[in-house]
Amino acid sequence: MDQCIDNQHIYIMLGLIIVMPFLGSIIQAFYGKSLQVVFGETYGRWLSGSLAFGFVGTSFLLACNMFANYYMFSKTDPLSVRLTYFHWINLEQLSIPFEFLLDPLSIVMTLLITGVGSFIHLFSTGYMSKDKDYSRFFTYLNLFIGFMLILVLSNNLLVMFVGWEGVGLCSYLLIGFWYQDLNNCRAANKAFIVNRVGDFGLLMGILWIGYLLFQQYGAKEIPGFGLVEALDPRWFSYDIIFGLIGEVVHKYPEIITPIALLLFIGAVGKSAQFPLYIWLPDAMAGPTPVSALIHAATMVTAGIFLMNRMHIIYELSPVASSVVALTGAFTAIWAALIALKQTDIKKVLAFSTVSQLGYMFIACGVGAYWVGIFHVLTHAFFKALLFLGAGSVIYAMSHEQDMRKYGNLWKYLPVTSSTMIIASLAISGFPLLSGFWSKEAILHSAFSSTFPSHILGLETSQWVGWTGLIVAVLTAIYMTRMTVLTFGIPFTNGEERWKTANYDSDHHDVEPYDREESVHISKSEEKYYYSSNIFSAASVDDHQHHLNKNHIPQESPLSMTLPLIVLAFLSLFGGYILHQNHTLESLLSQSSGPVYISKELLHNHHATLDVLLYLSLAASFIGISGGVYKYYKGMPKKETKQDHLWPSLDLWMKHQFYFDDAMQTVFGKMLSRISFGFYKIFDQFFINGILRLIVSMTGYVGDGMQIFQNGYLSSYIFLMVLGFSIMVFFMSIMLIFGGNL
Amino acid sequence: MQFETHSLSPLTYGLLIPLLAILAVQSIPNIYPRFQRSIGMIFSLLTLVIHGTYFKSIGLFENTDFRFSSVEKIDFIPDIGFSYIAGVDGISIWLVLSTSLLTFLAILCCSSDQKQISSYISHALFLQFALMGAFISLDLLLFFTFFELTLIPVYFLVSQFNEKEGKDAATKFFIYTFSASILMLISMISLGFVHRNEIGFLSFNLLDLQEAVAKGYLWQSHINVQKWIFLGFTIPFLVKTPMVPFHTWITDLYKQSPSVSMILSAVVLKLGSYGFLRFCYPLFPDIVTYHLPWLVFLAVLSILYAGLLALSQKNIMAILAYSSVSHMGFVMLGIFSLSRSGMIGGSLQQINHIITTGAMTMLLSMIFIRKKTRLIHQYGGLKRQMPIFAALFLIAAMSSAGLPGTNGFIGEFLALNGIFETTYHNLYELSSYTPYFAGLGLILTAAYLLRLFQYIFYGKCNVSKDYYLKDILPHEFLGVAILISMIFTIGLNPTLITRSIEPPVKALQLMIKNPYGEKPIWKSSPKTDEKKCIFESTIGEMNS
Repeated sequence: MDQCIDNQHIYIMLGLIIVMPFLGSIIQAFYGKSLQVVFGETYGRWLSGSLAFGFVGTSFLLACNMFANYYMFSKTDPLSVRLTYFHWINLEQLSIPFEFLLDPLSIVMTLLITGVGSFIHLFSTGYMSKDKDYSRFFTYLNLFIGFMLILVLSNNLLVMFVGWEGVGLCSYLLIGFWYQDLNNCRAANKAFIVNRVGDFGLLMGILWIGYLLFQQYGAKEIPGFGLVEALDPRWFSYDIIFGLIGEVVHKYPEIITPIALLLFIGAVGKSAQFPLYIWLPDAMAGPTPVSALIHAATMVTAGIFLMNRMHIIYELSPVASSVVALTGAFTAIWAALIALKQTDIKKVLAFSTVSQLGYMFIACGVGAYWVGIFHVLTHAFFKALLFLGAGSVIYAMSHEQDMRKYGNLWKYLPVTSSTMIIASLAISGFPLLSGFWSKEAILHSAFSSTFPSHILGLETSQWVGWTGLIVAVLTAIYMTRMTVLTFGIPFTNGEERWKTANYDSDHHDVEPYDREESVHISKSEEKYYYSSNIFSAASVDDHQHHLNKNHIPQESPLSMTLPLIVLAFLSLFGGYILHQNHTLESLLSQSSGPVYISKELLHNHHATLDVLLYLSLAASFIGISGGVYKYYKGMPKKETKQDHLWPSLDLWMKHQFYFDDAMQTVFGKMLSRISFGFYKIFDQFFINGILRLIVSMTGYVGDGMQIFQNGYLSSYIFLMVLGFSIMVFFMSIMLIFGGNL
Repeated sequence: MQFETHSLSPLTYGLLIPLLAILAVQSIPNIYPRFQRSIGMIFSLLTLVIHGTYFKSIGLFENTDFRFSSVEKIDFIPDIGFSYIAGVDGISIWLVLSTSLLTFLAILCCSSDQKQISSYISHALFLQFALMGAFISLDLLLFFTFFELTLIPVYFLVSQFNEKEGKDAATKFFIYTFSASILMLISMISLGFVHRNEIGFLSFNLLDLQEAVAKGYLWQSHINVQKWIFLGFTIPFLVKTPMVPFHTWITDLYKQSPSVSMILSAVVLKLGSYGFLRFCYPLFPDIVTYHLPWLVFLAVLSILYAGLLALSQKNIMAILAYSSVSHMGFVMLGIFSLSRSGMIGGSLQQINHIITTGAMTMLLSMIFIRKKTRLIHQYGGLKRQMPIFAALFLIAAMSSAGLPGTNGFIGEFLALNGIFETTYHNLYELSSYTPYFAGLGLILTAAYLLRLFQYIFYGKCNVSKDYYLKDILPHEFLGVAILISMIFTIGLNPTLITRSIEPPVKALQLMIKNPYGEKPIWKSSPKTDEKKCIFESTIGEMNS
């Protein structure tokens, strides 16, 4: 760790970058409401929104400044500096300081989070402008940015875990932001609990790493030497781990795979991979800027960040790496298939995110860790844009999310539609747009790597590479489908679709989580529960408008379109800028470059690579043209009617292969039943039963003894004689045996 | 015997203040309930301040010594060795202080229009007295006395509140824990007699006993008895903690007890975990390690079983009761792990649980005062009317769920870390899957707490008059804010507490691990200058 540059400066700057969003959050929490009271609703909101945006924006500018000073124009090697702020857990044999690490990986992530974050804050000032809980929204959003910064900047697995769970909490709060609708709350609970499953794995992995180092290098006694002093007992800090783990693994080679897999469980939870992806589609219940920021651009990429941070561990374990790559590939194709049949615009984007995250895991699994971050960046640009665009569309369409009611919006929303089309081309891998570069890099690294292992005679990297290619086609199809249905031509009779749509049909596909929750409500209460009470008008949130036939969509205000334009610019050129001259690769080579795997393993098959370029181009064009061909007339009727070719497969894709339902049945319903059963059988019947038995036995014994207390002199004399004779009997026995009994 | 002085220290004065306060409260006519309440508050706070400043003045918060400070002795019945011996160390000071704090809060938050408020306050103060006495007593019989004295105020608090079911629950609680305690009394007496056989005089003094154990005299010819005496101590502590399957009294008690006294119940449970730490480890070093497998199994079972059962409870208090059992499972897991970080984590988690559960029960009692029901499905949508309240409750719940940055995380993390170390060292024949099963508890905790939060605060108001519920009142906010600020203080700076916990825990660990004759002795030289050197040299000897 070279620390030649003036540390004091960086120390303060980094501190400010992290503290700013927290400060913003605290101000919003305590003064947000009062601002609206003092300055009136309009100005108060404007002020509160600009404060929120301002704090994150300041963070972004500071990060930019730092990046420019120490990375972009720095002649020397990229800076990597460790900054300790204060002691957190400080025991004799375990020290966990609040320390941060500034290196290329963390600064790139910081730029992404604060940059995209501030644009999404700007967008939200417009999008949420009519919401009652305006300042509450920004409290959570600022808090999220703060935790996310802690996550990426920490130099310590435990401090990273603070951010890791903190962003989970913010995600929970924001998904359940419109808490009056219980479906949102269930989605929020689901997100938190499923994430907790991942966190459990992560924490166990962290504990294991810490324990290994403690056991190997902690204070211990060696016969003949006495107590050997420990190393610096920061067992969870990255510098200590990376310095020592190689040596430990050399001693115990079998131990690294379980650790890597446990950490991967955490990544699977946070980054929504199979089988823990089920929370992400439901998380779309939150406000759309939240989906853009948390559930597309930043939080869900924490898993990829973890892979990059801990890449040394994955390099040491080819088995775990293959699991990572295969999970990524399977998730990519699984989610892409589901995305093909969704009708809710946000659901399409959600499954698309899951699928793209799978891509990133493919890159990490085959050893090209920096490529994962590359796709994180480009994906953040175009997916944030897609979500914000979708938000703009939803805003214009009175919060209608069903794509079957859109159409012809090109006419009404020029900025939104043009930027969104750019984004969907970018994600489809259209040549020279940002998605093209990163996706190409992923496929390239997959096909050229021989790193992980072999499956059925073919290298894992080949398997995942071909899967990636198929997913590229599917991606192009479903994105084109979404774009064409939303902005494309209306029905042939010239009427827009929302004017002709059938409003009676129940179009909400959202499956309520844990529907059995209300099972215990008795009939009369149930009536009360579901009937609209007299206050329902006052307590329903404003966002629940419904589309009517005379609706005319209007373009969103500048605060919403400006972020769209900036992100569209990044989607157009971001990939090229980062790819050109290997900018990102050389920058990240210090923190994400391979340490243990050799270059030969990563760059092997040079012959196929030229073909690969054509193949991925072909995938993109086939997908886009296929999508246009199929959907340019609007949603094919048979797709809605379900008498399709392969009707069952179609239905299965639409319902996420019923995986989510199955998980909900097993873990939502069954667990509740098991819990209740245990309560009745063990607690009430068994344990309390035994207690009751004991208690009643004392009663019976007391009753039984009563017959002796009957008041008759004769019986008392009888008992006395009996007792006396027993005594004599025992005494005589004792005399005979001499007390040797 | 240099420890024993006959001039009383502020430790004992502080202990006696609640008794004085009871007199004061009772002497005020019942027509001034607010005055009675303020007197109760002032006196309980006075105890806190006296103890706090005293501990500060003798440097207990930064103590690097594992021995008891301010040990004082008054002989009651010298012939049978029964005397008042009090003293504190780094573990017990926090329990003593939090007892006073929670008593203050319990009196602060009771509504002054409640009937029989003087009796309520008096019982709370008496409970404070009994709990503090138990935490500072270093004599077995004295500990037993205080241990049993806690039953009386809890019994009356619960039975007065609720005519029929309250009496049943209180009786169950009383008889259950009392009959378990009988075992402890028998064990204590036999321990005294073992001491007389080996050393020559009858003693219930913990320091004497520990010295005899550490030097290897006490158990040299009584290994078989040790097992039974150990079980006689352990089972009452497991009942009190409570561990599954001895936990059924707590659900009944929580369901029926008046909401505010619940705040103190959080402290009552600590008698179990504290007692185990204080008595079982130093006195039964051979047998404890032999019994650890099933004890750890019970701890993990408590975490999972209680966490699972909390998922389907309909009574909010029952959820909290199972949550307590589950969290005490983490406490005991840490204590049973017998590794340094685990035992520190367990001891810290005791205090965390007092704070967090205190905050949660306080908040819930405020809702019960407003809504007068404890059934979960009669709630809903309170977040709109009570946003500040909801935010505070969420913080408390997240602390309970062990979110990093709050105190709960530190305790659970250290406990898990400890059990990880122990199981992977293959010590005490523990299964190496133990930490994973215990870790599953984190998921269950999140699940039942979110369910609770959702039912109370999310959704729409389903009862029309809920629309007029008041948000948190200033004095209520004050009480909760103290605890919330402690949640974050400990969460971000746990060293504050672990610093004083570490030395005694380290000594406890060595009392188990070192062979006879090399165990640290509480009663060893008190010379202040040499304290550290001696302790260091003791370690040196042990390790060589």
